[in-house]
Amino acid sequence: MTVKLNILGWSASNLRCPDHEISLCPLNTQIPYKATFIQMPNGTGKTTTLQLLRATLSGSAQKWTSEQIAEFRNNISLAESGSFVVKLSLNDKLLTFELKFDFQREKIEYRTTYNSGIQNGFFPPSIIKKFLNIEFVSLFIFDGELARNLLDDKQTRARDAIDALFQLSLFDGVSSQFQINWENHSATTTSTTEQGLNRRRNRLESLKQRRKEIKAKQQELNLHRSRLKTNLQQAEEEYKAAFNKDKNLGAKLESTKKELDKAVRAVNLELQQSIEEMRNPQKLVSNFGLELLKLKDNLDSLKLPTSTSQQFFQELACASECICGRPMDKESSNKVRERASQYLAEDEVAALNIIKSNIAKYCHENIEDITLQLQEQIERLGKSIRLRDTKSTEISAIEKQRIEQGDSEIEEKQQRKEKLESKLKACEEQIREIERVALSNPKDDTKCLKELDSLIKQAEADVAEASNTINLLKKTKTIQAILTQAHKQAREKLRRYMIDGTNQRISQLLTRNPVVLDDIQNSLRLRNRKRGSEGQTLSVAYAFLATIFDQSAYKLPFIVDSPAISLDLNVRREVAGFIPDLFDQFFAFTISSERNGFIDTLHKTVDGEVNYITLFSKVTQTKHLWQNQDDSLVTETSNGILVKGKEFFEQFDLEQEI
Amino acid sequence: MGFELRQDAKRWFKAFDRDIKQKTIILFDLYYFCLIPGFITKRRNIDISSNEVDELFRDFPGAFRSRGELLVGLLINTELSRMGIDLEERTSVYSTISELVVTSPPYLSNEGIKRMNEYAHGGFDVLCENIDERPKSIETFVRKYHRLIQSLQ
Repeated sequence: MTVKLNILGWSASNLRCPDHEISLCPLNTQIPYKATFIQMPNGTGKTTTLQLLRATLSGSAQKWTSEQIAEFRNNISLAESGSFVVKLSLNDKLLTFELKFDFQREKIEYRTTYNSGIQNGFFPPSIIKKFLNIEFVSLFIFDGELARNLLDDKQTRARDAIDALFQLSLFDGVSSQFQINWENHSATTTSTTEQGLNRRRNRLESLKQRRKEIKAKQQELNLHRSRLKTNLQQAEEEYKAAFNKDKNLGAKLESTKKELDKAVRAVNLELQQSIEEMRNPQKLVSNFGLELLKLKDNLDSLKLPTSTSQQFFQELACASECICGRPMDKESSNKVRERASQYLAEDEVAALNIIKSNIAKYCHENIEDITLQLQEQIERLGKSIRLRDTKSTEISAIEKQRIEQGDSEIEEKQQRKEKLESKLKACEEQIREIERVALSNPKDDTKCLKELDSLIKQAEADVAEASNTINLLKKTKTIQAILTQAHKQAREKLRRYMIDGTNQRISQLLTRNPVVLDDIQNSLRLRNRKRGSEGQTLSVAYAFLATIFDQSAYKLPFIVDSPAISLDLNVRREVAGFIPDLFDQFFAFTISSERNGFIDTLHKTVDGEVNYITLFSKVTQTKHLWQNQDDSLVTETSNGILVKGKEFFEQFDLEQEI
Repeated sequence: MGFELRQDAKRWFKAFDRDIKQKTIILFDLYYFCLIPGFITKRRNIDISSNEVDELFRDFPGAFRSRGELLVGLLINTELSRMGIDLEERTSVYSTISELVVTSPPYLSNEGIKRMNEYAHGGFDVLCENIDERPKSIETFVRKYHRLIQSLQ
C-alpha cells in the first residue's frame, strides 16, 4: 500500500523567527504545489524554521533541555509562550502536530490532531510512525550536514534509510514474533532442550523395558506356580499314600484334617463378622455412641439445623413486607440480613439432617448391650482360632507320630511337600506384588504392573510435551534462519541496486568531475577517496536519495535548505531536472543566489506549478520593499512580512536593496 | 480431595494385601483402623506431606457408606471438643459445622476431609506406639486392635 504524506503548511508564533503562516497549497485546496521556494534572507530565522519543522515532525523536542528550549524564545518580544504548528495530509486525511513552548517553565508540549481526535502528546498514526523520528525526518528535511553524514563511515544513516524505506526491519519484526511465540510456549513446559527430551525418552524406554520384563516375569511366575501346584498336589498324594500305609494313623489324620477344614471355615466366618461389627464406631468405642447422641441432642436444642435456612432470611430481607405482615423497613431488613448468617445454608441443613438421622438410627442409650455384642463376637473369633490351632497341632502330632515309626519314605515325602509349599508361597508372594493395586506416588523401580502403566502414561505425556516444544524450537530456528537469509539477500540486492542507481545519477550530475560510489554498508563509500568536495558530497547525497525514494512505496515530501548553493551551474540544472520526478512535493529554503540554474530549471520542469514565497523581518529598513506591493500578496504580522509571487521573489535581493 | 492413607501405614499393613485381594477387608478398613485411635485420643498429625500419602477414595466406600455419616458426626464432635467449644454455644458450633460439612456425600468439605485425614495420620502414630510389631495376620490384628481400643478409652 502506498503511503502519501504531504506538508500543507505551518505557522510560527512568538518564536525566534518572524511570526508567519505559510501555506504550501493553492488557495482553498489541500493539494500542495509540486514545488515551493521560500526565500528567507540570512538572519531571518531560516535555520530556526528548519529546526522547528524537524522537531515538530519527529517529536524530538521532548528530549530538549531547558537551554535548548530557551534558544527558541523571541529575544525582542520576550513572550512567555510560543507555538509552531505543522499541517499535513496523510493519505488525504488531515494530520496536525503542534509544538507549544512555555518559556516561563522552560517546558514544551506536543499536541496531535488526527481523524478529528485531539491528543496531548506526540502520537503519529501507526502507518507513518516509523518515519517520524529525528533520524528519518532529517532525510527528507535535508541539508548539507546530512549529505556529509551519509558519507561518514562512523554513521549508519545510509543503511538506516534503506532499512526503513524498504521495510527491511519487517524481517526482524517477524523473526521476533516467532521468538516470542516460542518463548510463550516454552514458559509453560519444563524441558526445552534436546538433552531434556532425550532424558525423557530414555526414561520412557527404560520404563517400557521394565514393564516388558515384569510382564515376562509374571508369565514365568504363573507358569511356575501352576507347575508347583501340580507338583505339590502330586507330593501331597504321594505323602498321603505313604502315610496311609499305617491305616490307623491314616484314618485319624483324615478325620482330623476334616475337622481342621471346618475350624478354618469357622475362623473365616467369625473374622468376617468381627470386622463387620468393628466397622460400627459406636460398637467399637462405647463412648462414641454416647457422644454422638449428645451431639445430636445439643444440635436439636440449638435448633441446628433450623427448619428455616439462611436463604429464607436473605429472601425475607429483600421483601417489602415481613411474614408477620409488618412493612420491612431498611433497619429491619439490615437486621434480618445480619442475623441470616447465624443460620445454615440449605445445603448444610440437608447434610446435618442426614447425619442426625443416622446417629438416631445407629446409636442407642444402652451402650453396654452394643459393646457386649462386639466383645462376644471377638471372643467367638478367639475361640474358633484356638480350635483351629488345636486341630492343626493335632495334625502335626499325628504326622510326627507316623514319622517316629522310622519310615524314611514318609519323612522324605513330607520334606518334599514342605519344600514345595514354601516355594509356592514365595512364588505367590511375588505374583501378588506384581498384580497389586497401584499407589499414588510409585517409584520407577516398582514391580507393580499397574504402577508401571501409570508411570509410562505420565512419561509418554512428558515426552510428547518436550517433543512438541523441541519441534517448535526447530521450526522457529528454521524460519528465523530463512528470514535472516532473506534479509541478507534483500539487503545485498538493494545494495547493488542502490550502488548502480546512484552511480548512474552521479554520472549525469558530475560529468566534469565524476566520483564513483564504491559500496554502501553503514554509510556511502566513494571509490579511492574518503570524501568529496562540498558540491560532490551534495550531488552524491541527492543521487542516493533520488535512487532510494524512486522505488519506495512511501511518498514523502522533500525539503531542502539551500539546495544548490554549493553546486556548479550544470549540476544545479541536472538536480532541478530530476527532483520533481522523485517527489510529489518539494520545497526549498533558498537565497537569491540559487535562482540561477536551479530555480529557473525546476520552474520549467514542473510547468510553472511553483509557489514562490518571500519572508523577511518587519523592520524600518525593509518597509519600502513591501509597502507598494499588491495587498492581496502581502501578509503582515507583528514582526514579519510575507510576500507571495514570482515577480517579488525574483526581484528580491535584500543585501542590495537595503 | 479424598481420604488419604499414609504410605508408611500402607507398608505397615502389608501383610493384609492378600486379605484385601480376597476381599476379607477393603482398603478403607486400613484408614478406619487408623482413624478411630486418632478420634479417641484426639490426636492429629499435620506434618504429613501430600507425597507421603496415597489417596484411597473420595467418598465412603461399600460397607462404610451408611457408617460414613457417623464418622462425620465424630469428626464434628472431636473438633468441637479439641477446640474447647461448648456444645451450647450456637454461633461457634454453627461456624465449625459450616466449615466441615457440605451437602453432597461424603458430606465433608475439603477442609473436613483434610481434618479427618489428619486424625487418621495421628491415629496411625498411636497404633505404632502401642503395637510393637507389624501385624502378620488380620485375625490376630483384629483381636489386638480391639484390646488396644478398649485400653485407649
